[in-house]
Amino acid sequence: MEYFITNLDRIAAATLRHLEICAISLAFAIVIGIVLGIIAAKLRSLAFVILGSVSLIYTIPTLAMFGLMIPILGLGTVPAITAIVLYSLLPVVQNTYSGIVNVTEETLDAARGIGMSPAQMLFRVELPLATVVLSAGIRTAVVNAVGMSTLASLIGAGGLGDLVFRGISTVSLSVVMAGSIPIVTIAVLADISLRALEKRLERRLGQSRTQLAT
Amino acid sequence: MTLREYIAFFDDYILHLLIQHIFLFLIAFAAASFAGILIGILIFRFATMRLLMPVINILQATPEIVLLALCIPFLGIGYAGALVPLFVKGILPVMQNTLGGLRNVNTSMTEAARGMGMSDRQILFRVELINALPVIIAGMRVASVMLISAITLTAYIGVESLGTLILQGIARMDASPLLVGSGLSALLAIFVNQFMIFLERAAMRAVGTRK
Repeated sequence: MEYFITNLDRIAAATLRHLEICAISLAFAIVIGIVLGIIAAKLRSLAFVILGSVSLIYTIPTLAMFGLMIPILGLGTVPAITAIVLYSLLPVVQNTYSGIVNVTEETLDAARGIGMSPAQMLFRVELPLATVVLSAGIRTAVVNAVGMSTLASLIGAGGLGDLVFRGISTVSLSVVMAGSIPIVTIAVLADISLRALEKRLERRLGQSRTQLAT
Repeated sequence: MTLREYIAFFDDYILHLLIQHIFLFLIAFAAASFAGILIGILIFRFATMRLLMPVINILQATPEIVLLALCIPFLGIGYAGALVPLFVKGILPVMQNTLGGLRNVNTSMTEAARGMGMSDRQILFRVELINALPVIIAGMRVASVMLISAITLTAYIGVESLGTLILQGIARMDASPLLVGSGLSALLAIFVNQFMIFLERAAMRAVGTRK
């Protein structure tokens, strides 16, 4: 507790840094992921390659991914963000893809019937209907990214991981807690608020599904 | 030292770490799968068990390294400190999919079973769990990949695994151990993932469901 009070500014700075890394990585991952998801859904011949490679990347252990960045990109913020972006792609790509692919043929026929162009169908019918599934993917990506950013500290990118790892090496619970409590709080708050958003989207679109681990 | 020299010089040690990694994985995975299926069934059958959900959601959002770090004061550094938090994290995806799989079993099927005079227990084991099997295996696959990844982190609390090589590589800025540790753990994860996908498909064929 004492550590918390005397080091409040340090903890606050690490938290901000942590949020910064997450936010930048997620912005990239969401944009790239949605684009790749749309490409996979529209060009079925590329679907196998795109989905296969993002899930292969996702399978690589997190620490290994950060480790592999060092020989390629060195230390610091850029390799850390690259690793987190790569790792966050799968839930976004996969869910964009399945959200679009699962739009029923009748819906598409109706859209075609009222004279929509393929682009209009994508932006006014398919993507809006995919938002529930997509937001679940984004939630997974966000919660993962908050956790992964902890390891970013290992390659010199800073963040709350600095406190966690310093706590581990000095066997000091209060330092570990100073890093862990903000991390878990951010992850849980992000999870709860994005779940609430999903519920609202579900009600609006009249969809509902059972939650499975992906 | 080049990568080839490194591997030639440390081949015994690398093999030892790989075996240790697989060993830790098998223990955590077996225990987590068993507990995950059991807890999934309990939550499915007893509504009061749903009170556990907030705890589960918080654990789910807790990063593996944070859970490992927080357990040090209670479990110390060593096997217990490494395996217990991994076991806990491994339970979650299995439990979630067991619950989801059981809930998605067609009610007409369970009603038919009841009509045949099956008891609740028979319905659970012969109808519901069998039909939920592909989804349960999918949850186990998620858990297995997560565990192989998380076991690399146990190097930070003094338990040897392929993570030890990654840790050395980062500390010494030496690409050789980094590549060996990262490469082997990635290959292990990819192999186990493919194996679980194979099991999942086999279960799907057996149960006769399609994605």
